[in-house]
Amino acid sequence: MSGVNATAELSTAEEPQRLAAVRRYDILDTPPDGAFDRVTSLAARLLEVPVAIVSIVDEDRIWFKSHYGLDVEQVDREPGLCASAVLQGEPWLVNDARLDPRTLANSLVAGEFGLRFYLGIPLRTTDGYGLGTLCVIDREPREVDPAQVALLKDLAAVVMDELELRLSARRTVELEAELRRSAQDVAATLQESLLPARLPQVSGLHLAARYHAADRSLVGGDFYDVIPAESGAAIVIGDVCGKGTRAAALTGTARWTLRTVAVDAWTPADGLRRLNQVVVRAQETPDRYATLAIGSLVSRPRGGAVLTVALAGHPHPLIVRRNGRVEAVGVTAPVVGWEANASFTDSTTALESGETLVMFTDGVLDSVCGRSHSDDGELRTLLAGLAGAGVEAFAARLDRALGAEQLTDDAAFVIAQPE
Amino acid sequence: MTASNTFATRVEVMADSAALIIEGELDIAAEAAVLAEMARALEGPAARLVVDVTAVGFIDSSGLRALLGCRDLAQRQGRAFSLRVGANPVVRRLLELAGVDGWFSFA
Repeated sequence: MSGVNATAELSTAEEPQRLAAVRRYDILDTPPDGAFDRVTSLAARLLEVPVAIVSIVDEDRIWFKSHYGLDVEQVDREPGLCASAVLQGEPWLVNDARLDPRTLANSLVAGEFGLRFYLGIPLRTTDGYGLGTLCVIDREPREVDPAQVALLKDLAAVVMDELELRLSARRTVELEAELRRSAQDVAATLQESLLPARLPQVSGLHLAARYHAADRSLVGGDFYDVIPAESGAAIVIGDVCGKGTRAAALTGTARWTLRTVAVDAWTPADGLRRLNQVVVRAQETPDRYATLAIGSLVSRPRGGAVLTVALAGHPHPLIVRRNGRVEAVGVTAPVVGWEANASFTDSTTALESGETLVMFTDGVLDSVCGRSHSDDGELRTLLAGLAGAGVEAFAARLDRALGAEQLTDDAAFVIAQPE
Repeated sequence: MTASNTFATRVEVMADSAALIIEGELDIAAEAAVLAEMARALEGPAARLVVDVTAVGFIDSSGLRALLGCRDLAQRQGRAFSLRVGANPVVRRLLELAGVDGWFSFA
């Protein structure tokens, strides 16, 4: 027996890395495959041998990706043949296995199969690890000439090209999936940074807000914010033209400019004026714009609130009175970001306790009133039916209306009700 | 003429004016094509440019940006620009809502 030498041959210090390479190609136990079967069939015919195999040397077995002329799918990993061939870079030639000390003890040689001739070409990865072999086998001893070895080497290169191709195709698919996942993560993170994590608690005011994204993988153009004030809050809702990171940048500018303006005494029209200047100055030629509505609610000591609204190209917010009357508020003014000299107007109205302010983006109108709506009539009818209900009931009803539609645009709304 | 499933554009050239006619849905899918058509129309000698949106059935913020972009392209080249809306309620509503009806002259 050549037991001692043979065992030593089974492994090298690099075996863990070699096995990692085998795993990387993810070929073990995959179904039969015409590309590899053509190569083994060709190898057997060209070298005039009965058996040709594409073998992959696993930790404790040798698995056959393709086996021509032999009805076996795997054998134990024993030294002498493929298991030894993969550990060195050269063709592994055994002219007569029964006389060769390297192979005497191998069970394919000593056993029923009666292997005598073996020529194996290691399948080496680009980084130098042997995955397995392309080998030809005979039950008779044989000599080979250098041309035959060269032929088998060429065929082994074809097998390796095929394996590399599959690996890179799989990597591409995985990379695309990874990129898609991370783009969605970035979009979700960005969107969250552009919306308040949760609405602030504002005494004297009940609030509810929603954002429905049309497409999860793109940062939407809609946003809202609630900026608490000394006695009340300012509600901002807007729609930035476009999607993606440029729209997100403008959304961020809008949100934080208004929060900065709101530190001092201000009115909604002041905020829009300042924001318009900031955005117009930031662009060499007009390219992006935003529509906004700002509603500032100042609580009154005996209940209710005073509402001041200014608009910039945005749908009019609606007030739902307790008797079911629905009123539009705000004076139409241009969008923000296109013309430096645009002017904005505040308008003021009283909101009694339990009356409701509904601020929303165009996506809500598209959804409730249809894509080709020419007024907000259907939304008014829907809201009138909710008169006197709480803010969450309003939000749930609008959610239902939006959820029933395949949203082609983002939709956002904020509901506010003074105590 | 360029067309997609939802919009189509064509340019009609007259003696000293050119009209860019837009039909269908004027949204983000149409925006780039409309601006490209406008740029091509401006390669001609027309002193007056008209964008005709009477047959637009839907317009959103991207569509409005396309119209503002057309206006700006023409004005930067010193050409007269006007919008033909007709009685189209959808476009009229958006121009009024966006507060920009005063930014256009109408043909």
